[in-house]
Amino acid sequence: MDLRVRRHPVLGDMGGGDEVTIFVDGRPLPARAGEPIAAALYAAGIRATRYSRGKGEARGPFCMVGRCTECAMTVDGIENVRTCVTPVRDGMRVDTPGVRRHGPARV
Amino acid sequence: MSEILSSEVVIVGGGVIGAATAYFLCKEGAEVMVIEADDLASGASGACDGFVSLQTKMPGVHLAMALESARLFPSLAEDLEVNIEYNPCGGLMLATSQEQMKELRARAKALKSGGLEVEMLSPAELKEYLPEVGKGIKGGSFCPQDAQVNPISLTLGLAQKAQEMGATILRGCQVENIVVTNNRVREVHTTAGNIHSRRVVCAAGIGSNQIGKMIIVDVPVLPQRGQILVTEQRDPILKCLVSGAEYLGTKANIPELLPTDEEAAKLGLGFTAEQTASGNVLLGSTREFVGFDSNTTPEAMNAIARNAMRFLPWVEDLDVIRSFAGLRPCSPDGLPILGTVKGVKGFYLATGHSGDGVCLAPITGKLLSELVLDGETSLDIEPFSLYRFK
Amino acid sequence: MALPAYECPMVVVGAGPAGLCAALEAAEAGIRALVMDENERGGGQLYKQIHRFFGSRHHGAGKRGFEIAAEMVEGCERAGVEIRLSSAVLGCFPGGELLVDGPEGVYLLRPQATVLATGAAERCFPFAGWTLPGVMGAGAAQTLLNVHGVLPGKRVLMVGAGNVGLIVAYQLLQAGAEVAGVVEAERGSRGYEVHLQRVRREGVPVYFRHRLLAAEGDEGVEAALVESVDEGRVRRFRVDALCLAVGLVPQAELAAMRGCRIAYADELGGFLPWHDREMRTSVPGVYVAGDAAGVEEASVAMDEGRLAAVAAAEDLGALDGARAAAKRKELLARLEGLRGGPTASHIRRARARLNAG
Repeated sequence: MDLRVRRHPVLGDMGGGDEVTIFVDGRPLPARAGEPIAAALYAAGIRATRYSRGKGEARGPFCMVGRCTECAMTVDGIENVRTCVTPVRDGMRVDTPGVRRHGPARV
Repeated sequence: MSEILSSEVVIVGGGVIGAATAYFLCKEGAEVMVIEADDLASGASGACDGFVSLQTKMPGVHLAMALESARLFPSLAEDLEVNIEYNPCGGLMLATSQEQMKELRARAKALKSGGLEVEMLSPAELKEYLPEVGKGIKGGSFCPQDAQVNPISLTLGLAQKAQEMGATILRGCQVENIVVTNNRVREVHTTAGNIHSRRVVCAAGIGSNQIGKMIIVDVPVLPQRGQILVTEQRDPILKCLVSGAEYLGTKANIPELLPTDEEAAKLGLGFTAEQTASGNVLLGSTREFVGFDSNTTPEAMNAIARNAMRFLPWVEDLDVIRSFAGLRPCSPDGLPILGTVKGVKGFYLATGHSGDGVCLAPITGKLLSELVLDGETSLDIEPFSLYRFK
Repeated sequence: MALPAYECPMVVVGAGPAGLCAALEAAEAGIRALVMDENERGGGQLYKQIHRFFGSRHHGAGKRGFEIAAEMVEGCERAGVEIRLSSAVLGCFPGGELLVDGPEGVYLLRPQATVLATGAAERCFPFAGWTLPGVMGAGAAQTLLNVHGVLPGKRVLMVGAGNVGLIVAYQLLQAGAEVAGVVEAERGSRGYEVHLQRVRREGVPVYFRHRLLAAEGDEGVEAALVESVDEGRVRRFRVDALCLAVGLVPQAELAAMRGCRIAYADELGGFLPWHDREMRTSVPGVYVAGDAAGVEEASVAMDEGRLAAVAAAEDLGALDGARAAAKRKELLARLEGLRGGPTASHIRRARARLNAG
């Protein structure tokens, strides 16, 4: 899954910039230098940033401005880092906190 | 107001004491109405930590009461439909000097003879409970009977169960007057109308003085502010309750255990830490007499955080996400005020718990239920009489 | 060890359009304001707006939001206004101190005047599946899209047909996403007709009198259930993102903590610090501006920021009564113009009610 915008009718070329590599749960993921961790994950289709403490449900970025803390992950060993306002750095380790316990939600 | 309200017992106050009293009264089949000026647990019960701490009680009746209360928690945890997050985790009290160790040792002896299990631990022995403590820690005492609970869930759970058993809870309802005729309580006038009742329990916490005035009784309860910091959620990092000996010093006014630092003394600073079921660490706390001001202050927040690092240096890595302050209903000697009043039949006091409200709520509720319905109690409450102060 | 504390004449909390304009106006009156913002860049939410703004030359009409933001930040730099970024104001205590967590550490500010221009947060409402990844605020989608160049999904359902919902739906299309529809519980849009028509022209269905029932999915949104309010018919949209554009809520926490009286105005986003026409709150020395004073447009926020600064400058003695009155008259006239149209009648009503008490 690739959700990156490369050409934008108003903003022009959005594909530029240096590439760095971060490690998400141990797996390498390319990212654009300076972008927030959550954006790099979302671009690759990784939407679940953590599993809730209570029920083990998937949670993901909701506000993208550092308010809601739904995107908090463990970054370089530090817990509860808001990934929507924390820029990527080359070699950064990003781990998904919590344990998935719930199956698919169907109404 | 066309509808005439009446109730066998009216409880003034929807905090943990009022809710526990309603619960135990309903268990005995009494008709109960709880009058709450704001909302359930909106006062001290909703702005405190969840310590059910036995080793901080005064040896004697205070401890005896706490031990009885502690015995009731497991059955409440079972009976209430709300998860009260009861956790019999034990509690550790840390000393920062040899003088404090000496005092804790003496206390441990007295507590043991009162039936409490307490064990003195050397710095090396502390490691079993706390892998990392501050360099200045000289040891501490551990009480396996100390426990924790979620005070808001406890209050809501007790109230909900009481309601299920038939209690009526009036929220946002203020008591305007209590009518006494022929030396007996007859009516409670409230913003929701007049309630006919021959029995009124005052469980109004810091509002108790104002309620007492309505029947011309001076209830010496003053608001004492306690500020607490709340950290981010973490996986379990604290196995048990932790406090500093100064916490006990400021609580029970023990000269040997009072903070020596001037600012700490001014704030009544004593260290407490617990990790809640949701993973947040609560760091406390202060004891300040500032009237009814329940704001937090930057000075206290800073002092609490720095003090906490003396005991648990690793809390420096935790992000504080909010702070709150509660007003404890404080009596002159720090012990609850329980029982009847002279000259007014049908008026009962259950107040002045001074920061022990959560711990003592179950036994208070049980004793008040006995007192209201039978006129006598299974535990002698004479030492908690209002008239001990005169 | 005590926290370091600094005295200063004026602190503005929030470097969005209201805060920056307040600082610029204060600078004109000779007051050096300190602007605090928790974000890494100034401009508030303007920097993610890529559409051209309406209004007058005072409000940067014809320019795109991020261009206006950049101009205001530059203007502040020229005027000698210090903008402290990555600096979160954690508390506003009853004594007037502000607790700041910034790159310098944690410290206190003791300003004589405080302008709260803290903006608004996106409103959310609960529904089955609302916590699934892929459910996000429309503003969040806009940030992801316009600032970071990432689509919130390949196929998106927008909930809410106000200006934010319509503008973001169009921007999603511009960036190459598919928009499955715009769902709105009311009979019509509260937004501008031009935004509604632009979305419709692109072939995006707008479902009025429809409401969101649930989001379905496992690790993230896979579908959304929408019900027709009148017929009760349920439609299932296969989408991988669900954007909520159901309003904004003023960020009134600091004002409440400071002890400012809080009022309620549904039309302005809910609870907000009560203030008079000149943007004074109930607490002397505390002023409010922008979305924090009631959710409206960025252009309104700019003039409110200037009004708040005029009041603060007057109260501090930096502006005499006559000059303050003249400035105020002009700004109030401009605001009246901005709130003049038929779509702003509910705003005028709410403002009249607020001013009356």
